[in-house]
Amino acid sequence: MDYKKYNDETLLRLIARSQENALSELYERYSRLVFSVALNALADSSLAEEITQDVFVRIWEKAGSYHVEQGRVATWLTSITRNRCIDIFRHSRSRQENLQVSWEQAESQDPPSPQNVEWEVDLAQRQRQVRSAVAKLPADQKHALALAYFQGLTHSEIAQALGEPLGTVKTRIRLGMQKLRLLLQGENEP
Amino acid sequence: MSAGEHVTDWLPAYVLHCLTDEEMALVAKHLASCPACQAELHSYQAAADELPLALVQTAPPPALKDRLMQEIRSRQMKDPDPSAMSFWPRLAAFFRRTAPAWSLVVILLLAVVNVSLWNRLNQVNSHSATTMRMIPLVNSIDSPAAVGALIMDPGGIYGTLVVDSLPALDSTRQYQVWLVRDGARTSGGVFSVHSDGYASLEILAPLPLIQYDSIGITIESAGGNPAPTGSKILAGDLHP
Repeated sequence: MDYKKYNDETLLRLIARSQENALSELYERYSRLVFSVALNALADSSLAEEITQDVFVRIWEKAGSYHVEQGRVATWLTSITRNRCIDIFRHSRSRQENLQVSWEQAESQDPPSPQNVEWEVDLAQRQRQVRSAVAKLPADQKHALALAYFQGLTHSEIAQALGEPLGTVKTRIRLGMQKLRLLLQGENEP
Repeated sequence: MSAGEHVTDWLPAYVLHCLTDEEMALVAKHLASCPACQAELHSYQAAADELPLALVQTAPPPALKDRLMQEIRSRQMKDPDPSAMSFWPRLAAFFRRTAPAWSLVVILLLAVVNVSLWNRLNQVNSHSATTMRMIPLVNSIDSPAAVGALIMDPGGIYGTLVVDSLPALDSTRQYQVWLVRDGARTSGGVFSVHSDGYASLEILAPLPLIQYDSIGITIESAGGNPAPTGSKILAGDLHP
């Protein structure tokens, strides 16, 4: 049985029915994404591995609770990953911020080949769009967004980590998100 | 920010959860009653959700997948051992395990008792979103004794095939399920029957079953073929 042809939602339905091969295929698709989110948040490869395993174990146990209304499967996975990382931060007494996030270059990915199935083409296209949009953000806004998104820092914590005034950080977050939204909406327009 | 003001400027920070608890509560209170700000929120949330796609993608160590699959299997093995249960849980487990067989018995009885009742049942089921649908399969001249049915969930997404009195095949051949949509055939899985000709199979399909026109079963090479090559053993219309 070739599980590559199934879309993400179908894989989750099969995982909910304890189909190990479906979990294996979902892992092949998204383990890099999940691991990368954890690695960029925690800057610790061992912890990132632990989080990645936790996330997929949770998918194995909770796949039946996923509904399409919750958004894309990739978004669901990254949300779970991000929340687990933030939990770790909050339970850690000595939090060490990872001030460097590794953004991909905008044009660094090859276009999908003709034999790619629909989900691969869609994912590759979205990655190109987001990378292009993030690449257009000013470095200071990109940095502030990364600290907020991947590490769950508040305005005040970001200001403290960067040694910048609170108002400056608030402005960077607001302008960064406004520009990102505008760029992504522009990319999605026909 | 006061409770009555629009919170548009706060939404970027709200979706990133970088406001204080008090600020988060104020924004949430306003959002609860402001459709305009809710629409803005969704567009910011969609943008934030895409951020991970811009990261450099690093592959985890290959051994991690092995560890994950071992963990999954060990969790499955932690399910209660039926032999260690008392009588009543064992009895319940027996009925759960043999549910497809009991379903088949019910189907066969119904078929024998009254064919018209089948039609009426199908009519009722086709108009109901809350009951399981049973699609009886028709045998062919090559398999006059074979019986079977497809049991679909109320949403028409999943299905379990139950067959009986099919000839047992040698190890080089298996039965293969085909789902037909606009003339195109997609494999729904392969199966072998027990020595008594009985088998049940959960159908695996890329689309919800309700989106297919019909189902058929043929004899193919072990493991299945990309397209049907054998003659039809059982078939059924998914939209009778």
